[in-house]
Parts: sequence; C-alpha cells; structure tokens
Amino acid sequence: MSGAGRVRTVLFVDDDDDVTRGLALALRRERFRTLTTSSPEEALRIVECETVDVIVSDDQMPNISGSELLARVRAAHPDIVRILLTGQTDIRRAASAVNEAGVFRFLLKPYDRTLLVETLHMAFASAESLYTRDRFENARVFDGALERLWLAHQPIFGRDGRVVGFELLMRSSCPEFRSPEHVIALAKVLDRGIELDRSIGRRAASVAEALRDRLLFVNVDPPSVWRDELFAPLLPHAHHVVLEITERDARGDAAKMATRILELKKLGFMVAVDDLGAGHAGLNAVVELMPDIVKLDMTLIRDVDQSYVKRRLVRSVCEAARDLGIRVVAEGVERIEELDTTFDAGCDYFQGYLLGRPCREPAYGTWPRAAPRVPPHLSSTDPATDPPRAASEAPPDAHARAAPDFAPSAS
Amino acid sequence: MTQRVRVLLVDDDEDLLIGIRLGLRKGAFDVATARSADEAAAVLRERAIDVVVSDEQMPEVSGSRFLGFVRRNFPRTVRIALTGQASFEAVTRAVNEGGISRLLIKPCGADELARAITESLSEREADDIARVCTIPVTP
Repeated sequence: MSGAGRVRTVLFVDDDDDVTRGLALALRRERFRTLTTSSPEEALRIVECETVDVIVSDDQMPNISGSELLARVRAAHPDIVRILLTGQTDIRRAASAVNEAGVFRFLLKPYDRTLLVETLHMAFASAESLYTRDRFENARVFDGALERLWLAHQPIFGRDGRVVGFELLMRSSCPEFRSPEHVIALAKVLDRGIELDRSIGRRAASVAEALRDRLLFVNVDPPSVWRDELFAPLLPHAHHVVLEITERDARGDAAKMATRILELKKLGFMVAVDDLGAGHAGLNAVVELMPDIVKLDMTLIRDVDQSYVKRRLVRSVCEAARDLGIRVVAEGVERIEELDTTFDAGCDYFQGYLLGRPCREPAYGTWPRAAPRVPPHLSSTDPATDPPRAASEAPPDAHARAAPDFAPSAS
Repeated sequence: MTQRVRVLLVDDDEDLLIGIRLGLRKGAFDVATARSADEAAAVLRERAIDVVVSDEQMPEVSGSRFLGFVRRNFPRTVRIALTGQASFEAVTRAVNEGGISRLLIKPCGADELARAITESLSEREADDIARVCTIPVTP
C-alpha cells in the first residue's frame, strides 16, 4: 500500500489471547488498523518492522511487565504513544509506568469499549502532533532516516500458494522513524527527494540482485515518477521490478503521466496501479496507464466476504482485468474469509497480514488456504486444512505451504 | 537554558514547602508556593509557570483534580504529582486527566524533584516542536 490515506495503527499486547482477541473484535469497525500479540518480545519486533502509532499493553505479563515493555518502546521509538492496561492498584508500579514508560493513559480493567475508543482517538491525535517539527529538526531526522534506511519485504502470493514476489516497504532504524509517509513528507519539505529516490533505488537494486526469481514491487511516490534517480539503479533488473504508481495528485497532467509511464515500460519495467478503489485511484488510472497489474485497495478487501457489493465489484474488476491482460492483487488480506472470497472472485495475487507481515529478510509467509477444495467426504485428511488462525497468531513461517488449489474461480 | 525554571509547588503542608523550596533554591529554579489549589490557580493566572508540582492530599480540591485543571487551562505547563499514600483512583486521574510527566512518592528529596523537573522539561522540549511539516492524514 502507499500512503496518502495513512491508516493509523494500534498494537495491543496482552498475554491473555482472549483479551487481545476481544479487543480486536471490539475495534473491528473502527477506521484504524489493529495489531495484536500475546508476547512482549514479539511486540518489540513489531514496532521495529511496522508503523505503530499507539501501543496498549497489559501490565501483568510473565517475562516483561507492561511498564517495562512500554519503557523499552519509549527508548526505541519515543513517538509511539503508550497506554497501560492495568488491574493493578500498586502506587509504586504506577509511578514507574509514569516515570519510566511515560504512559499517556492508564486504562483500568475491565476495559470499557467506549472509553477505549475515545482514549485511542486522543492517543492518535497526540501522536500526530509529534509529526510537526522545525526545519533543523526535520533535517536531522531525515539524515538519520536516510542513513539507516532499509527495505522490508512483504510476501505476495500467487494462486498456487507460492510467493511470486515481495513488496518492498521503506523502513529506517533511526529512532525517530515513524512511517514511510513521514520520511517522504520530510523529503518534500526539505526538497531532498532525489537523495531519497537514489537511496531506495540502490537498496531495491541489491534486493533485486539477490532475489532474481521474484517480482519486486517498488512504491513510486508521484514526484519520483518524473525523476530518474529511483529507476536508474533498477534498470538491470527492470524485467522483474513492478513500479507501484499511486495517482494521488488528481490535478496532475494525466497525458504527461501516461507518456512517462510508457517510457518506463519501454525500459522493461512493469507497472502497477496501487490502491485501486481508494479515493484517489480511480478506474481512469487503469485507462490512462494501461498497467500490467492493479492492486485492489484494502478498503475494498476488508470484510469482502460480508458485503455482496464489494464481492461483486472485486469479481467485475477481475473479469475486466482478465480480458485486458492485467493481473489483480488483493491487498490487505487479513482474514481467511477475505482470502477465500478474493480467490474465488478471481484475483491473481494476494498480500496481507494473514499471509505474511513486512520483515527485514524475505520470509516466505504462510499460505493458510486449504488444499484442493473438494467436498469433505472426498478429501483425504490433510494438515493444511487445519482451521485458519487469526492473522496475529500466525507467525510468518520460513516456508510456504504450497497447497495446489484446483477450485474453479467463481463463475 | 539560561533562564531560571519557574516552579510552582502546591502542598498544604507548610514544612514541606519550606524544605523543598530551600533545596531547590540551590539549583536554577525560581520557586513559588501555594497551600491550596485555589491559591495555586491564582498564581498561575498571575504569572508564567514552567512546572507545577502538586501534592495529592489537600483539603477541598485534590491534587489530581487541580492538575487536570492545569492541563486544561495551561497546557504548556509541565505537571508533576507528588503523593504519600494516594488511592489508585487518584493516581489514574492524575495520569489520565492531569497528563503528568512524573509521579513522585513521598518522602521525596529536593534532588529527586530537581531531576524530575529538568528531565520533564527536556522531554517537553523534544515534543514541543515548531510546526513546519504537516503530514497529510485522512481521518
């Protein structure tokens, strides 16, 4: 995904799975992304790999207390707003939560849903005010981000359950790093987009060098389209590089854009229209750019199994795409039902937390779909048909479970 | 910073006020005192204060309620809570409504308080950054 409409993210940490599951369920309808984990160690890993705005942690956990976890998060990422979920009434523990972890709020157990949502909104607002910095500070943060820039890999699966490629997502190990959008915005403010393009281009090229048999999806911010720095290092690998274009700037000159994209295609790059179905990426982007791939926006995928209209739209896009020779990626797949529904609707590729989170090293995620969809009485028992697990519980496995699927796409 | 930090100490215990005041004098602090929330509010309206340090147990308005008032009316003023044996409810209120940067437990020496004040101020500085770059965020 790219970032015009950045989805804000909250991470819940509680060693009691029922609590995290309950929280995730309670927040299903909210417009932010909810990540959950039962392990504080995993939480520390997640904040390294993900853009997290707010973290809510239970206090009483076996190895690391919530206070301690939040203090560590604060040290590594001071911008993440910290909330402690507590049933404790000990003043000294409260003092360490305030003094070391710098908690934004205490939430008392049992939590109240309305209060929780209200608190989260305040926390997001507080997180956003931290976005604004002065120019000197901006330059310092940008330098740091650039110096320690790296690319996370999120696997993208084909219909056969194999990883066809990875989307490369910008990350930085500098403590102030918040999100790719933040770095891009800093680059714009400081007028240093060229440096950022060059840095990403080089790093993506070395990934491409190492992963010659996979497609690599590289996000291209609109201003970068017009410059050469991002593309130049990637030229030798153009045949397996997919440029993800978001038409965020609707006022841009569409004809000029189409010409430029055509140039890039002639150099051998593949082109994907990102976030199709989101506010800024309309069908005209498909008409003008004639992409090789379209990525359906995650808002269209979310609960697609529960909405006839979404299902119908996804299927129509897939049908039209097939006629036009365009492949379709279902992005933001978080639940097995969403995977099954988009699979049946005819999507070609699948990406999302259910299948694999962005990770530092290319991990081949998990393909949780059942083996061939034949009536139960005909199928042999297969471990692959275990009931699906929630995205948060599914650690990215090192090997894809390649389950061939012979199900016909819905007709 | 060259300017002295302006601190307002709020506690109904006069001895404690005198003790801490003497302790803080040695540092780069300009200390005002108040013996109740009302008195403290009057001081805040009168002059600029960088940091408010308030005890929890006070007659009439409790420290945590007062800190909530400070947050709503003087959001730039850093808030520190001082407590003997406050209830957890009061502590939660001090955090959630008062947005305190420190919770200090009595007995608390002047050194500890001085450190809490300076650290809180530098944290505020880090958060309190000029506005140039606004990131587009769609709700």
